[in-house]
Amino acid sequence: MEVKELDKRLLDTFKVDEPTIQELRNIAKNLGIKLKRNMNKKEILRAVRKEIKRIEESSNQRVEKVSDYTKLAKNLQNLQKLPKSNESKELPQKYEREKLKLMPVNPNWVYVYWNFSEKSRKKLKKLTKNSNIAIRIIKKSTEDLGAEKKVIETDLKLDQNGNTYFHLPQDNSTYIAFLGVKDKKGEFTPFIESNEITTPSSSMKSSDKEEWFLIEDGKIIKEDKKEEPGLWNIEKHSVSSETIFTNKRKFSDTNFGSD
Amino acid sequence: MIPILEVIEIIRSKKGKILLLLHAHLPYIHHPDFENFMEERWLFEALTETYIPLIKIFKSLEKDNVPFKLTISLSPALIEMFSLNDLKEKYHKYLLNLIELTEKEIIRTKDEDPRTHRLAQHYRQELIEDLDIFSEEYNQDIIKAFKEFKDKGYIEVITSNGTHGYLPFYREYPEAIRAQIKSAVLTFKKYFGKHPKGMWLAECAYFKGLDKYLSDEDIRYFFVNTHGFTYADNKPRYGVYRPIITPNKVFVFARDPESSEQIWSSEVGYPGDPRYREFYRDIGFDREEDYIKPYIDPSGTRCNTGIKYHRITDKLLSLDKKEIYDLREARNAVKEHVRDFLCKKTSQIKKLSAILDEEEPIIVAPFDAELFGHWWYEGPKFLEELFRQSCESEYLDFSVPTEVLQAIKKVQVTYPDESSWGAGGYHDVWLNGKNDWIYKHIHEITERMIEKANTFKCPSNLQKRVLNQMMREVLLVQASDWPFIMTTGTTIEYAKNRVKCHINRFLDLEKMLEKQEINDKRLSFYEWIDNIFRNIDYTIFSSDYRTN
Repeated sequence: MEVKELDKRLLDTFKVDEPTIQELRNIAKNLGIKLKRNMNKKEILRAVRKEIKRIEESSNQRVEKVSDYTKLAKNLQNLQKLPKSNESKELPQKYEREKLKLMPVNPNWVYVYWNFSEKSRKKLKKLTKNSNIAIRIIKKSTEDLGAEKKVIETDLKLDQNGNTYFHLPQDNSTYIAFLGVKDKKGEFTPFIESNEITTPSSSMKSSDKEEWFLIEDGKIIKEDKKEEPGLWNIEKHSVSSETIFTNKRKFSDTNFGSD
Repeated sequence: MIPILEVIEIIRSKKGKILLLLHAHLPYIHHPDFENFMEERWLFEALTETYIPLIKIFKSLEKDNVPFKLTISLSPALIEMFSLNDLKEKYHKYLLNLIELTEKEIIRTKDEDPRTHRLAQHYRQELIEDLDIFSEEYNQDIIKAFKEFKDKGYIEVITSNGTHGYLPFYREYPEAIRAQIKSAVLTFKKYFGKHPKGMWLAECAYFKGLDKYLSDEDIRYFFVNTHGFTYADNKPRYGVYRPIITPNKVFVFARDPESSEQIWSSEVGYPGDPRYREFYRDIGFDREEDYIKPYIDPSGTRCNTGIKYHRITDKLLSLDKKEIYDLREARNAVKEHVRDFLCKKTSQIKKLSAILDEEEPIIVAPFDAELFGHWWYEGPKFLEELFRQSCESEYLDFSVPTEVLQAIKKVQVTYPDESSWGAGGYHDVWLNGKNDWIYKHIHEITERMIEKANTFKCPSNLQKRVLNQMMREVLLVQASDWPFIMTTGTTIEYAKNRVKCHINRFLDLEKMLEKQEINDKRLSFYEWIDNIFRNIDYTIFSSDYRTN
């Protein structure tokens, strides 16, 4: 069987699309498969798949001695290198930079993901012989700058999948997270600091004054707060067209868990 | 005498304004190496069922001298797809193919129910009109049609985030937010010759501070969902019925919950009427394989053809029990629903006028454009009838944001609160256990893109091509569509694959740049596939990028 003669385009078609019976016959011919006249499309397809599987399996084995097979493997690699617009490889597992990222999901939930370099991983491994790795979330106080409050702390395993969700106690509040090492006495040494986030509101805010912009004068004036209660008899969140769209597609609510 | 008559007089002198907005968007899907690609059909279906029908109703209203006003946001990704020659050609073929199918259907349905036969003839007629508009009248350039009605003053066309990136997830990266907005502005200028006045934020997703970026790009207004105003820093005095201005001097309109509910609630909304056409019953699934094969995906995977013969009948009924669709009945339903809608709007406006001091109530009703026509087949007819029936109204007018803003003398200053129009009102749809894995990768390449844009100040032509392509890959992977699809569970594999493709292409290009071994063949290939924003260069990602 001469792989050189493989029609690359046809084989590509085979991998991506459902080929026609004629294309299948050509592929089979190129692969050296003997076909019977009365074979239907399904049967040819089965024979071709079997042969391709056999070739790929063989090429994955160490067969240096058999030069034909090496050639075959190389050719198959080349085939894979020929890109198609819908072909993709798997993504890297991790990246070489330290990161601890907070992303607000809604007023009460935050998504956290983290990543550390190989160097940091080794360093942490040494440090955590007698301690744990933990994520600590701090709520910042707007009134008292010094009054930061620890709200959540979760122990992690070093090799744990690098993301989780946390339930936060209060909407419209500012939070920051730290990934660090916690020793047996509970002493916490921060290692990576996250970005700071402010969660969205789920409650109305009150104030006594309103600001108004006078367009012609380009001036801002202050007026006493005037309530129009009739205007706020609305549902908490109006139905969105997106919601309906997703409902039609049997959208199910997502559940968050903090592991 | 004073109270009642005076109140009535005040109410009569103030007409409410309805701001109808249709947001037209589809993710950028382009597979020129395939003769047929299933997901490219989304564009073809939307053209046939929504965009061209909208143009048809504009023409019909104009011909009859019926005044109409609405705002249309055309996402830059959609505009860029409209302009691709290979997609234009594919769409042309798609239409011809469907016309051929309707011709077969006309023969086939001769002996069936006469209503089905009439429907087959109706579809053929519609498709021939579509072909005429698309190919003959606008020479395959559908943007020209929107531009024509914009220039005539009927529609206000605005823009949306460059590739529909979900901006609250990039708030740590000012450069990325600017790149999404800048690419939108530049694309709008390219196709419409003018600066866009307003912007529909993708998924209506806003966070405090985003207004500053819009102000930097001279965007005068944007929209938020209702609770963006409810939980505003300073609760707006007039609720969602007047715009506000942010301290960064950008006007904001908020969505009226009542209008959304009336038109698009799955429970009480008009599209669920038993007389309307059933979306899920399509001959693409009903006809036998040998017959339908040339009109569905060549792999044999069944899909919608747009030829549908059944009506909703009863929402609880299984698809095989649905009754035959009757065009006349559906037309009657449209007329009834428009009367009902206008009656409800009038009563809402009367109530609002009485409590809104001297100000005119502004009712903002934004929708996904594709809901009209694609999901709700009679939607475009509903819009047409809405303008026809409302032109005599004493109480309401249709308007566009720029007109409303011109008449404003005094406006409340405050920041709206973080919100979106997705289920739950925040970011849950685009960030949950089904899609959260993508952000680690997207943030990583976003950061690297910014670094590259800051490092490469005088690249060679070839390096510049690589950097521009890296920019395209980053922008494309940021589209809100991919996590949305993963959540809704429709074409998950496609969405996952797209995220992986763009990230891998970015990493490959970055490697070429770093190793100084640029593979022209692969670069050209990526340029061919992800061929968006050909007029924009990567410097929009640099930290010191200056606006204009």
